[in-house]
Amino acid sequence: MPEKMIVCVAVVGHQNNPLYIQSFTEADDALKLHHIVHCSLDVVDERVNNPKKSGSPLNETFLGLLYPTENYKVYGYLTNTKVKFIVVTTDLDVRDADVRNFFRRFHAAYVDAVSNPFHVPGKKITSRTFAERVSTIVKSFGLSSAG
Amino acid sequence: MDDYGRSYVDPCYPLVVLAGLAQGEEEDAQPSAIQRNGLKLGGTGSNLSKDTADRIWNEFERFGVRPSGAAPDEKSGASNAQLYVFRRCGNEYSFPTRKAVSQASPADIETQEIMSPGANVLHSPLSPLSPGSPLYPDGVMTPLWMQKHRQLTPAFVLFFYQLSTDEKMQSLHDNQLKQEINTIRLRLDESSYKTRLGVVLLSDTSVADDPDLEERLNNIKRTTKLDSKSGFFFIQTNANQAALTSLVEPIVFALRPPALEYYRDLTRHARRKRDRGSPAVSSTPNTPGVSQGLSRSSWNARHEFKMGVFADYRQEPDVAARHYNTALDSLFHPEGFFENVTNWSPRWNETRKFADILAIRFIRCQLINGLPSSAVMFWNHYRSRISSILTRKGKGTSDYGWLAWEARWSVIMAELTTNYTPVSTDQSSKKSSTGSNPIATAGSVYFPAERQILSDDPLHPWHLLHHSGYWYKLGATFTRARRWLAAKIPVEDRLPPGQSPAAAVARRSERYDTYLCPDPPEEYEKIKEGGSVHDDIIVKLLGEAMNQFSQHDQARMSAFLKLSLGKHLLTIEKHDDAYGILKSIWQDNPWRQAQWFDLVRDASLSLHLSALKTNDLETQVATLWELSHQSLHSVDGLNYNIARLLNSDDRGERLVRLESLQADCLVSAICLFDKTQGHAGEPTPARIILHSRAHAEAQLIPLEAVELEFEGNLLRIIIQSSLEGTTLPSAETKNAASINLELSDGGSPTSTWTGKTDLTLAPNQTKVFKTRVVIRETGLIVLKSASIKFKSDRTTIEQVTTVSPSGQPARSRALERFLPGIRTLRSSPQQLEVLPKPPKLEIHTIDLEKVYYTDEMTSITIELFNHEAETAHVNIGVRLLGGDEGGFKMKWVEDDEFNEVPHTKPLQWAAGALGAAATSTRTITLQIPSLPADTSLEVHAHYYLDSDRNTPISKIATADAIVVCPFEPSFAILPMIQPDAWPDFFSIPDSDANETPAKAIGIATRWSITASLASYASTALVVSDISLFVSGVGADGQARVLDTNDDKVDDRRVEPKEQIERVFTLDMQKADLDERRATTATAKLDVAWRRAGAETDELVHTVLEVPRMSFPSGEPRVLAALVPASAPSKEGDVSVLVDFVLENPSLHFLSFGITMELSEEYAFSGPKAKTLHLLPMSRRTLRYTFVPLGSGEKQRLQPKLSVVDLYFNKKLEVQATKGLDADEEGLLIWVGGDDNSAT
Repeated sequence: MPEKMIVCVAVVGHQNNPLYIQSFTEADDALKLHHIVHCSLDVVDERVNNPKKSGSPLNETFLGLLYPTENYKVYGYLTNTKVKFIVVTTDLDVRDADVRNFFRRFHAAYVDAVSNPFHVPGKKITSRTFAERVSTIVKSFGLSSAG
Repeated sequence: MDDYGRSYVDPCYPLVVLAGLAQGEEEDAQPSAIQRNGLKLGGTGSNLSKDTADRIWNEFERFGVRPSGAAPDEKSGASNAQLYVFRRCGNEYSFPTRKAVSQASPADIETQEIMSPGANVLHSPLSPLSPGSPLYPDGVMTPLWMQKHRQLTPAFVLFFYQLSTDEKMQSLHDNQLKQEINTIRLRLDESSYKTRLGVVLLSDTSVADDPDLEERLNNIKRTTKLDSKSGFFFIQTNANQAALTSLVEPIVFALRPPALEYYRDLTRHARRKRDRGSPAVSSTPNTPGVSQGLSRSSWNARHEFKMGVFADYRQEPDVAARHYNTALDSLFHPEGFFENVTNWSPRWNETRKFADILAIRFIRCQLINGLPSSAVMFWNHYRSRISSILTRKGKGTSDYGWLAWEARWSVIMAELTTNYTPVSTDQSSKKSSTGSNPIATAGSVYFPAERQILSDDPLHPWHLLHHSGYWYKLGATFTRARRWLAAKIPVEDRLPPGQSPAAAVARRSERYDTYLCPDPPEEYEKIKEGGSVHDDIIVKLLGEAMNQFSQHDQARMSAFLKLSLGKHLLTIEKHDDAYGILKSIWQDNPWRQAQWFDLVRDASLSLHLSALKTNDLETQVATLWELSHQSLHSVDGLNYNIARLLNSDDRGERLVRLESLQADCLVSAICLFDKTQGHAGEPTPARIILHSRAHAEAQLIPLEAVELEFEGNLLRIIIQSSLEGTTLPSAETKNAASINLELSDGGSPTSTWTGKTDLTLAPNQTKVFKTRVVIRETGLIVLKSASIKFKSDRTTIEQVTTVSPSGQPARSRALERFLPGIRTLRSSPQQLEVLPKPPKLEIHTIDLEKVYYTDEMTSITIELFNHEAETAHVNIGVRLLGGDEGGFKMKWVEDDEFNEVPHTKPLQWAAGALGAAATSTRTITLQIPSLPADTSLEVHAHYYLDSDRNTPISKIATADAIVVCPFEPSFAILPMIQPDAWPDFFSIPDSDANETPAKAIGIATRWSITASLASYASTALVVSDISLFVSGVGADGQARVLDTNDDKVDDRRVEPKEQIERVFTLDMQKADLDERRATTATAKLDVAWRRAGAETDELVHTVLEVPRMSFPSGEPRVLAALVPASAPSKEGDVSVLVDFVLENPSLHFLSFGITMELSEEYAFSGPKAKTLHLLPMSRRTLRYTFVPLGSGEKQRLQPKLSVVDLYFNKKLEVQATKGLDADEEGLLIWVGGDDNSAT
């Protein structure tokens, strides 16, 4: 098991509907992770609505760490089309740069997936290619800086 | 925080004792642990009535904090810096014992004040050095110390004395008073208490009323040497409430500096002790077997804590925080308490508690200082310190004790966050907050970090202070873990100590950390009793967390906590509570709206399980219904058979109504219209779509009926299940069939259409039924609700989907609600606009031209054709619209008179009954006005049919037409030579005065008027005649048109744009010879014409206005006229004869100089230069012959005759008459060419 581990990634649409959610742990945790991702939207909402208070400027897509919860850390990313990417990690010491890098690659994968003419905007992403690509990105998370 | 003792953790406010305000015993119970046989102060007392004492007491209490309660009372609006703890007592106040009683020789304390050094030194009874102290010999701190300062040792004692009003006794009483005060002051000074002393004198009279009073007061003040600012006050007792308040308030404020000074003194004392370095000598000689007492760092911690508390008393949180922090550091120091004392020592937990309290006080100070992030960072640091100490030196962090501590601390953090959160420095959030608690409305998840930290490393969210909901949630989590661990306590540890072997008890005490929590047997006991103790805590904490999260706009988190709470209650088998919570969260499900189906499933499944326990069949069905949806993954082991669920109940007929809470209903039905518009009474094509979104494992009960209701129009469609109806091959997933709907009853206002068909619907199957409905009423109809009924043996399940009738956004989503995933080209195919029944009567206007000409009379025939299937009763109204100027006249052809006002009053025609396919016509005669206009003819037919006499039907036919003037005239006016003789200057014409009109005797002039008419008509016209009428002559003149028949038009056909010309000759004559003014005349041209090819010969007279003509008179002028050749000219003769007529119509004798210029163009005969004299009213003709000098070609001559009025030296223009041209150079004569110009 890699040291830095992503346990869940999610794409959430602009109406806060899940477009893609995939957990990378044993099956028991999936529901819990769904709840964590869903609750993190509260913080995303606040970041978007009160950008001043939360400190981070809104012209950046990377929302940073949303909140720590028990054993996980939840990071967020907001695209220009108000699609949110949420990632849940177990690692205690994640570098922001790693997460940024992850999100950048994930965003590219997402753009490719929704550019598929057969994809219905606002519907769940069912592309297998996307899933495979995401899984690759997740596996390589943090490896670049670990070495 | 109650676990630590309120007095230990609560904030501190200066203690002030008001002596003399209470009768007899003090109100507050005495802490028994501290003896109060210390200094006693007091005397005769005030003898105040209870009432007055209470009044004064209440005034002071406005600034007071109850010794027990921590929350500052907000009634006075006083800030923390003005608050005190007030205590009142009788006339005497006893201080706590200052020094412990020596074990060697118990004696009076005060006499042993000063001892020789090195001998037995007496310490405070609470000091670890005093054998009687609870800390003896090696405790660090006890709550009793806090209690002593909080309740017993005042910063200030205020004695209340009533001044005597008895005049005789006054001075005696005053003297007694002075003596008493002096005694008290001396006793206090002599003691080592640093408490400040003050006196309040009370009197019924005011200084103003009693002149002696001031003198008395001054006297007392002087004698007692009390500080006038902070030690000597006066209150008039019979003052009213407001006055009393104004008297008490300054006293309260004046107490502040000495009170603070008191705590500063104590701080100084503590600092001195700390700085002394070595611990004080114990009051007992070293006893073998007794520990050597506190280490130096522990002493430090003790002193620092004291200084911190004193700083707290002074409301200096930053100073206090520093001291607390140092104290903690001392405890955790490698040589400090925790590292060097074994954990089995009873002092261990005591000191751990002390450390916790230090941490709490530190965090509170940080929060008050507005350093939330520092507070959180400190907390994280402290937690890891404790955890490290426990792991290394203590009993580890793996048992329930640690979790209990974690949970307790979470709650403490939550409480601290709630009570002491700094007011946000962000101005905007300050403004937005309306409540007294700025946090509650801040709506932020974290408190913004303080500036000092921002400059350093980027902050992580766990370094920001989360609102209290987060801490409560954490507390619940830890408590749950604690409960889980408690349940796992091994069997041998579960027995109470009495019943278990001693070895087990010993092992237990080594293994379990029971810091502030019960022993394992007791802990286990809590689980055994249905887990009520822990679960109550969990439920309470989750509830608190839920509140906080929802207050901070974290609805999702709040919902999640609610669900967790419900699930927890379910696991601990509190089914009723669980059911209530799960039901409410299931109903306002935040996940459903956003389509988090896995979470929806979680909630539904929990509620389903809960409903199974509580036997709520409807909820069971509703949840199972939702769980059967294909978006929700099927649950392993769940019985999806709804019929079985229903049959398990023995009750009779029942109806389960499922309001569609789901964003996405299990079985959907929708009616779509093929077109956006339809007509009333005509069959409208529509299709009904049924779709099941159940997953493969779902076992629904058979579909009974589908009922669709529409809004705006009373329409209902019901389809019932019937296997005999149209059967569809069930293997296919998508099917389409036609279904006939019948109007079931005509009685009710709602028209209900019913049909029967096979409604069996397999999971994920779609059925489409094409049908037609006839809608009666007009208006917009929209699908309002779809109700789908399922029927098992005795139970009907009705699933209703409704659309809120609100605005547009909801409507656009409405379709999605009925049938998710549907895609249509139109925006809302579930609505239909029903238009009125279309009229089938046809109206034709025959002979209607596009263009009419002015003054024309025309006829238009209106033809009605009845396309209706039955006889129509028709009324026609015809009117003309437009043509603002009016002038249109209209009548039926057989009428005699024109209808003058066609705009307002249409021409009516009761056409009467018109059979099917029958025709009726009638003709209108229309008089076109003489001015151009745009108009349109409107024929309005109102009719009703035999079958439905109450429904009026109307049809309007309009036809546009424009009216133009057919001719565009232009006129040219040229002078002519009047052939008649002029009147004789020398003879008076005989005028008959009686002749009417008077014969004109002025000089007549003749004019030629050429009228050119261009046809503007679009069709060919036949002009039969053009004539000129003089309609008016100005300046008393007479005009006469000489009608010459030379160029009569005589029915000439004029094509469009062709020009037609006619020349008129006009004679103008003044009535009077003396009349000299210019004359004007107006004339009209009457054109008689008809359309070429018109059936009648009737002529239209179009009268055209001739522009006003102006005729000069009385001025001399020169006219040039071509003299017609008398005989046919010979070949080659190109000479031209021109007469120049000089007219002198004036009454003056005029002389003219005449010069004919020579030219190379021509030769001429006639006078070259001449002076001509003209008599008044005479004229002369000069005839010239011109021969052109050029070749035989047609050429232009321009003879330049200059005529100059010699008297006025004015040159006269030569005016050309008919046959000659003129330009700006002068006269123009054309000669030669094919035709002789002389013609």
